[in-house]
Amino acid sequence: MTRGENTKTSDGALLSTDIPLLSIDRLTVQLGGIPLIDELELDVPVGSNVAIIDSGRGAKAALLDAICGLWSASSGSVRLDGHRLKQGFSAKTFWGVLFTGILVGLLCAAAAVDIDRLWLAVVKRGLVVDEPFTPANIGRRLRGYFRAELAVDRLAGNWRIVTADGREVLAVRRNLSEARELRNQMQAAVTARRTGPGVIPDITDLVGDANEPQRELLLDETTLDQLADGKSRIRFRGWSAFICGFLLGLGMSLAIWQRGRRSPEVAARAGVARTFRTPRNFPAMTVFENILVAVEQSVYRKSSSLWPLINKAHCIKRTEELIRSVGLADQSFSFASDLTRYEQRCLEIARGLAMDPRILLVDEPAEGMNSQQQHALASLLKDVCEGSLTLIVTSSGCDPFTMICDRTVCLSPQ
Amino acid sequence: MKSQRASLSHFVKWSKKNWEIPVFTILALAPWFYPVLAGGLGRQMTSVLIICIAALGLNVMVGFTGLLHLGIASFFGLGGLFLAILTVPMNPLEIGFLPAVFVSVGLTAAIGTLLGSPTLRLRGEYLAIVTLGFGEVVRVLFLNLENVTGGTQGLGPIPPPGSGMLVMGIDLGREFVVDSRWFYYLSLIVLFVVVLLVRVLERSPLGRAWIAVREEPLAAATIGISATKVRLSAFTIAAAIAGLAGCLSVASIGTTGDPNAFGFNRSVAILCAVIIGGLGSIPGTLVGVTILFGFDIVVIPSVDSWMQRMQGQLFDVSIFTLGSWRLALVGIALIIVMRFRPVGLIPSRRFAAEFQESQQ
Repeated sequence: MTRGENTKTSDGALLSTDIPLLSIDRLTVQLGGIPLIDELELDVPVGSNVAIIDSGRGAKAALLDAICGLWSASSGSVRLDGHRLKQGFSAKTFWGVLFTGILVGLLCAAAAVDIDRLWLAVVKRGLVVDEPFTPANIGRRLRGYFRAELAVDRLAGNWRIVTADGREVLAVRRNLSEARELRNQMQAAVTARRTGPGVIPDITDLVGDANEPQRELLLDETTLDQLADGKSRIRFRGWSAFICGFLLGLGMSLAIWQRGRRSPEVAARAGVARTFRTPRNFPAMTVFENILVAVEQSVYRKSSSLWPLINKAHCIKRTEELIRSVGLADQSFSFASDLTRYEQRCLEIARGLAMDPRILLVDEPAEGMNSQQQHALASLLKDVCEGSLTLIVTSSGCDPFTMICDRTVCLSPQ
Repeated sequence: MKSQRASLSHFVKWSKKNWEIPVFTILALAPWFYPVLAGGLGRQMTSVLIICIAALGLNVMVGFTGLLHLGIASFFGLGGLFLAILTVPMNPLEIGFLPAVFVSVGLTAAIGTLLGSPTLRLRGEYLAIVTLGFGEVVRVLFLNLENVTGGTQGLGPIPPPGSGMLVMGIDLGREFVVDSRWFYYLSLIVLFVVVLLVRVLERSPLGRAWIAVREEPLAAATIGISATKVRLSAFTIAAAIAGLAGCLSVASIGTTGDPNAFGFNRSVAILCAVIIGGLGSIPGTLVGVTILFGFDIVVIPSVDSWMQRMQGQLFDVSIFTLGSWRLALVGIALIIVMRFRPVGLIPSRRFAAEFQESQQ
């Protein structure tokens, strides 16, 4: 439908470089199924100034958005210096994803094995039966919990033999050694039942009133089966929850990573700066701070040191330099919300330059300005793009900005 | 005369810029001139100061980064809970106060990071809903994990800081329990440190990045600021500061108390205090908390006891108590402040500029 088409090439020498700085290959951008840009091919060499013109169907803005990653293209690629503007799968990503997976898995497992009961079994029970809080004891009780072993607990002066999670009380004894012995017998029976059919041990207890005591079997067939089952039950619960949580965490973090791969900040870090059609500045920051933020970001990225250790004096000097270069020195300490449209545009350009970009995208700078301001801004852009900085300007017609460019691309409907 | 006036105006200017120094000097000297602070009033003042700390944490999130956070009280509660678990004699860990504070603040910050990393990609109301839900989850967990948290009764008694430590023949732990001025000073010092910390953060590159992301996320992204990371740092710092406040709170009360105190109501009350005081403004936050919680914790009980005495003399029974109307009064105050001073009582310079722009 639309096609990039070279209409004017003034400087042939510039086009002869081997790898163009920005190369757009069969780029298609769609809006609700309607292609705004259809299979665009465009190479921008280093240091050239390119103007992009269309008849106002939003294709220019879509192209800039696709380059800087605000809008994802439906097909085709944008390469800067031969690299796609996408975050790669680094070792950091790998460890991050793995760590998240394990963490979520552990959280799920903690919920599934009932962390509350685990705490009771490992921490509280040791205090109740007066065992010292040593790593060996903790390990023993932890193992006991995950093997669903029986344990001895105390309530109101009585020693009770309980399941590991303390839900079921199997017997009550008056003194500790007796309780321990009974617990060991019961545990032996349970362990035997785990490996084979086992036999119901002859463990009985006195019930009934004092005159007519009766003996009652403590472990019957069903209880024994349940207790024997406990180990596999808790293991199954824990492991299945861990695996589910691990996969969930893995999937979630991978999805998040995938969605954040092609974002404006990735493009910005690679060296793509842009300004917006309606200037977007930080209104509640002064002009100075507006630029300082960007300077700090670029210094921080280059130095790869921690936040507080970046060179403050250097940042301030660079900021002042930039403010002077766009002619906002008088306005340095007024809020960005108080600036005129022209000054806001200058501020935006200065903020873009603060990142030391390789390519500067300027979206419709002519909009909302009289011709005098347009000329002033055009000469400013020409000045800042003297060196190797590449400039892409969009425009809706012939204006001073297309004049400073050495190439004009028309996105015209065929 | 003229030079005096000049020096006075100079002093006023200076104290406007460095308001912390006179304010904290007055607060530090108050117990000397007003010995009542050694008793119950001191305890009430201490809890106001502690909530000031939590509110400063919330201010980092809501004021500087512009994200609505409806679950700050849950981080407050988590900090307190971790401190209690680490120090109460019921549990075998029983580590000292200072390491316990460090560990619990670290754990609270880690939980903040954990909650923040998947959810901070949400904007506005969605994030508010997530934090609201998290607050409820924490409250219900507190109630249901009875073996860990003590359920509705809470964990206690938490030994006071420096218990068993003898300094010049004074048992510090005993002093902390007997004289409420000790906790008053401890909270005051921590509040001072947190105020300085937040101030330094606000003026650091990170603080500027927070504000940039709040103002214009798109422009911030085009200069390479990763909004998620920047927001996550604010979320974590807010959680850590709130956790610190929670540690102080449970230590001064001596128990974690009823978990329902860490629920939605507390979160919203702190948020209201921050909004009344002025979003993004440190002195504003302190003033907001002092007005809202000072009214709730200090003024209402004393007015009520006075009124009961008066009414008892007149009618033999007490008819009217301010306490039952306090939430209505807070609501009315909020409406009035928002009507006549929508930027808050002491707005930050930035917020005033932003508000002005949005009005245009």
